[in-house]
Amino acid sequence: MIQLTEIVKTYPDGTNHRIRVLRGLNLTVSRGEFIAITGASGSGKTTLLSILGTLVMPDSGQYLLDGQSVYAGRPADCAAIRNRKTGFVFQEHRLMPQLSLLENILLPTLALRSKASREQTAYAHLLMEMTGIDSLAAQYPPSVSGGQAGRAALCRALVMKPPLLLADEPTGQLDAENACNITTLLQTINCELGATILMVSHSPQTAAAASRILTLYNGILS
Amino acid sequence: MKHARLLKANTAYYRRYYRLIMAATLVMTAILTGSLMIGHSVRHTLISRVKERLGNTQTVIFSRHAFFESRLADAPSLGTGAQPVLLTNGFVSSAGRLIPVTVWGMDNKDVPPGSAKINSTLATELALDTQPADDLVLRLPATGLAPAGSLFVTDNYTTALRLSFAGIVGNRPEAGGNLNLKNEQIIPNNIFLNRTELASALGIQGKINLILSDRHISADTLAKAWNPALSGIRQRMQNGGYEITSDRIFLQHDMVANIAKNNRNVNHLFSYMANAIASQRATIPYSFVTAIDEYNGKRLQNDEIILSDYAAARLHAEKNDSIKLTFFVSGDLKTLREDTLVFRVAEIVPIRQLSADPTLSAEFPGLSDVDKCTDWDSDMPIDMNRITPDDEDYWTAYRATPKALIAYATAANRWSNVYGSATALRMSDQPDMSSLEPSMLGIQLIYPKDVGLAAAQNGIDFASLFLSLGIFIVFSAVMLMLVPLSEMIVCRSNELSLLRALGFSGRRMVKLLWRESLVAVVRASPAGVVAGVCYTALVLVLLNTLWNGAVHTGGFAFFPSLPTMLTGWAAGTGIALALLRIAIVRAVKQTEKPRPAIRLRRQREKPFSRIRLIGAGLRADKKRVWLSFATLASGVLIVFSVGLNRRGFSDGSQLLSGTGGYSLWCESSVPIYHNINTPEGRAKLALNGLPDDVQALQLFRYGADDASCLNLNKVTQPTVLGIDMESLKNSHFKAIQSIYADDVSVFDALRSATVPVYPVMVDETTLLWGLQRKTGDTIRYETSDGKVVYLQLAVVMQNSVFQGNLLMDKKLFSEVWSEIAGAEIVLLKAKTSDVEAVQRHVSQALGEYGVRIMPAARRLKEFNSVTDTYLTIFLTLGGLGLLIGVASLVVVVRKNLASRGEQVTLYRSLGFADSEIAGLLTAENRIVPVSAIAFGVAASLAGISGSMANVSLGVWVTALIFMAALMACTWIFVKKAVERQLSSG
Repeated sequence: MIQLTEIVKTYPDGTNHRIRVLRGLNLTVSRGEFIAITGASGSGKTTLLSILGTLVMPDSGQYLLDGQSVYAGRPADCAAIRNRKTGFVFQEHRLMPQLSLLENILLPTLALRSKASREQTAYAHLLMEMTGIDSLAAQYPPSVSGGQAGRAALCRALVMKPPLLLADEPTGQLDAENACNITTLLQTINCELGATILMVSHSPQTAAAASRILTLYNGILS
Repeated sequence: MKHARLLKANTAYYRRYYRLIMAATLVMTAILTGSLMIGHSVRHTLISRVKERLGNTQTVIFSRHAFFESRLADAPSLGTGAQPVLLTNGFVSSAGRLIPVTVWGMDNKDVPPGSAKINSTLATELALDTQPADDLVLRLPATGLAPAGSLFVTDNYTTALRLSFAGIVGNRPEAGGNLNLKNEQIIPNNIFLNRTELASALGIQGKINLILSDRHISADTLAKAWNPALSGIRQRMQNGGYEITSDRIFLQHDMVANIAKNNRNVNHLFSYMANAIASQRATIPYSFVTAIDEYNGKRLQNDEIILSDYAAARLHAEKNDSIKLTFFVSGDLKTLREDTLVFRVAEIVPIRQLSADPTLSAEFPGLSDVDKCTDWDSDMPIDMNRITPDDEDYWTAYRATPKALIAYATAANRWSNVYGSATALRMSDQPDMSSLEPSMLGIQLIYPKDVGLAAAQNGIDFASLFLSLGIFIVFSAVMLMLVPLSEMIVCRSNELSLLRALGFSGRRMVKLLWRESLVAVVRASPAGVVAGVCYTALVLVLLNTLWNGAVHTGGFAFFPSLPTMLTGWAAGTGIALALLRIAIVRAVKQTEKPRPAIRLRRQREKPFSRIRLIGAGLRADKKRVWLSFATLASGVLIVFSVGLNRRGFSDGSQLLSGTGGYSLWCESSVPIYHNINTPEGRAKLALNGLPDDVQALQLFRYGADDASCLNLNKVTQPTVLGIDMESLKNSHFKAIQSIYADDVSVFDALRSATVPVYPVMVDETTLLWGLQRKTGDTIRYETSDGKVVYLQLAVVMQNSVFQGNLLMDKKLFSEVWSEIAGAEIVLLKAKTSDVEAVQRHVSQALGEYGVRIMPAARRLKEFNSVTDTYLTIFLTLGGLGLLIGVASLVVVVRKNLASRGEQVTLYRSLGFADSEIAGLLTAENRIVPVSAIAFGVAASLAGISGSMANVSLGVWVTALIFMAALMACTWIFVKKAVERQLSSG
């Protein structure tokens, strides 16, 4: 499903030099896999996830998604890929405080349409039920707990039924119980919905839920 | 680590916010200081103008219509500083223009006979700065001693003097070039003449009508210095008795009554010229007749006439025969009516007996002092064809000796006029005139400096005016101050939470933030004072140039005042700190509040859409949204309302109510004593060529201060116009408010007075701005003979050509100021097609009266131009405020977008294309300014809905362009700002 070849990504270091974060990284991911990526802080995990989510372009290398190069098309095509093919879960959840949980979950539906359809709304309710937050649909992010916010962020990532779920430290801000719940949920999603998951995590317990664990070190996956 | 270090670090770190707060403080302090300084400078200019126009004059002894001997100024009790002056109006012509001038006959200006000095204002009018001085031809009212409004005076109303130019009198107070007794800032066109020469030209040698004194003179001092002889009251021995006459021919009513009351057996005499004395057999034309109480010990009964034997012979009349006396009676504006009285011959006396009493007839100039009857020169129409050789022979032998004597009681009420009720008083004993006072003969005592300084100090308060004009700028500055503050506090919410966690109390955090603001405010406010000084200088320059239409005068000078600057600084700093403290306290409290309670699910779930997404974004930032909306909407509302309220003159009805339907407004330097509506009057004024349907409304004028919006001083006694209320009633002038009941016709009600209170009508603008009074208030005046009367502001009329004046019924006016019988203002109504021709004709015919004529609509427009200029100032300052409002909006939008970085990343991660994100952000940021502009425009349109038709096409087009430009700028700015935000992300 994913084929990354010789991916290089550098960032300016504030002087005239550049920091090489990814140094010819290669990665192949099959459909339905649940992969955990670990690594030290600053090793480039989030950069890798951003490249996978087409939020960041590599300096060089090739990224094939479902056999097609994601950078071949227009920027709008990348946006469509993000909307249809990938779902993002951020460490800090990034829920919009002015929207209710349901509205937050339905937010991706507005990327290409002006209104969420009934089916999408029903699916959002279904996801909320699945994640145990269906009673909180009308509540706003500031009034829910971190675990509930994390589940809502997960629902938002899934509402467009993406084949690929990218999760950046989804349990980083949660207590052990909530972290366990989220991990279980990810496993459920992987098994029941068949979504391919790439998860960045520091936590060995969370990473252990994955079917494959990769470590990013010195800009290369091992 | 000290607090100071924290303070310094915070202000440095958040300098972007504090720079905006400093800018706002600077603007606010500048406007406050500037407004106060403008007020101070204008007031100081007015006060200096008072000093400039009055010099060291403290007291003025003034007679409006009569003259008195210049010897009065030499009275020791008045001191050595009393300066005799002869003051009159006049006009000079230059380049085809008639320039009204104030003519001063003075001794101390070193003007030799045959020459004149002028002030610099007149020099500018005469363009002496660009061309060499030529001789000046000065035309003056031929005042004379006899009242020009009486019937038996010569019809030469003007006289002229050719004068060489002797120099310019400086403007400094000691030079007195701008001498003016009126409380107004407008500098008159002054011309200074040799007093003796001027008196000679006016035919009043040795007379003056003004004394300027540099000391305070009380009424008692004046009364001691004055005696009746100084006012031309002559007393002489006559046939063993005494006779009192006046060099003005007529003895004033009150004086006659006073003398009659204080003396025994007063014999009243009234000399008159009859058109005819007729018996059944013959007629004698144009004869002097004297009305008298008693002749040679015989008291005449009401129907008795004493004939000279000469007259009896020509009339073939004998004792007890019936004699018919025909004479003219002069009405308003010398409108003549022939009247007749029938008498019975009581006695026939020898003509020599009558001619032996030379003062039986008064000395009428132009009648008594000619050699032949055919030389008579009088306003009274005399048919020379009726004069026979017998009449000429009589004139040669007996001159003005009366041919008949009639009972005074019968004639008095017919012949008496506004100038007096007798031409002589006789009595056997030495007359007692001790109870006569100067005021009875029209002499008034004025303290112009006290009045002038009070008028200047209480004049239009430019400080308040410019504060109110600039209030929107202050409002925008407040917005510019509060928005970044609230932004900064939002940004620092984590920091505040940290401080709270570290044990900072809410009060301590407020203190910290407020101290940071204090540093910014204290740094910015002195700069604000400097900016305020620049603002003052700029406004004064504009008032002297571009905005001159608001004040119609120049010379506003900048007068710096440290206390005013300190007040402005304190006000700016105080307001800024107070507002910041309130905002900080509220913001800190907000951060202390617990998270909002869980909201209930809505009853009916609405589908989630982009509109709801945008709405949610706006709702999340309600305060900022409303602040932006309110600032921008009110700015647009102000600018549009003011712009649309400019007078376009496209509304015919407004024009009609302002001009009353009259086409032309004429003002003359010399009063016009004839009725333009009668053929006789037109013939006298060479206006026979006027179309028959031209109607004239002639107004008397009691000249006092101008209470129009052109005068910045507080007027206490405005000019009063005597007007025919019936004509006013039949015109289009509209009364809008009155003290009378609704069912009463105000024009009828204005015709009756409860002495000493006289009702008057006043223009709405004059009432509100010039006088700063309300309906029903009264204003104190003095009558011609020194009595106090009160004019009650009974009726208010719509803004009109009469702005600056009070309107009084003509008859009541004549009761109060009986001396004024000539019209100085004429309104003419003509067909539109005839207006130009009428204007030309009247200008030519009445050129020697110094008539200046203009379309009434133009006069109204000139008054409205003052309002329009103020609106322009308001519009300019409002526009400036709007600019600051827009600047704050820019800050708001930029800050808003800058804080959306994470949201943009989220949108992107959720698959929103940049164009979609741009669409959402643009819509969210455009909706406030665009709806604010739309709301402001709609509200201003609703505000003027009643008079929308008055707005001219030009104003509409300008408004439309302005709105479109504002919309386009907002549109483009938001688009660019969003694009910049997305590209930087």
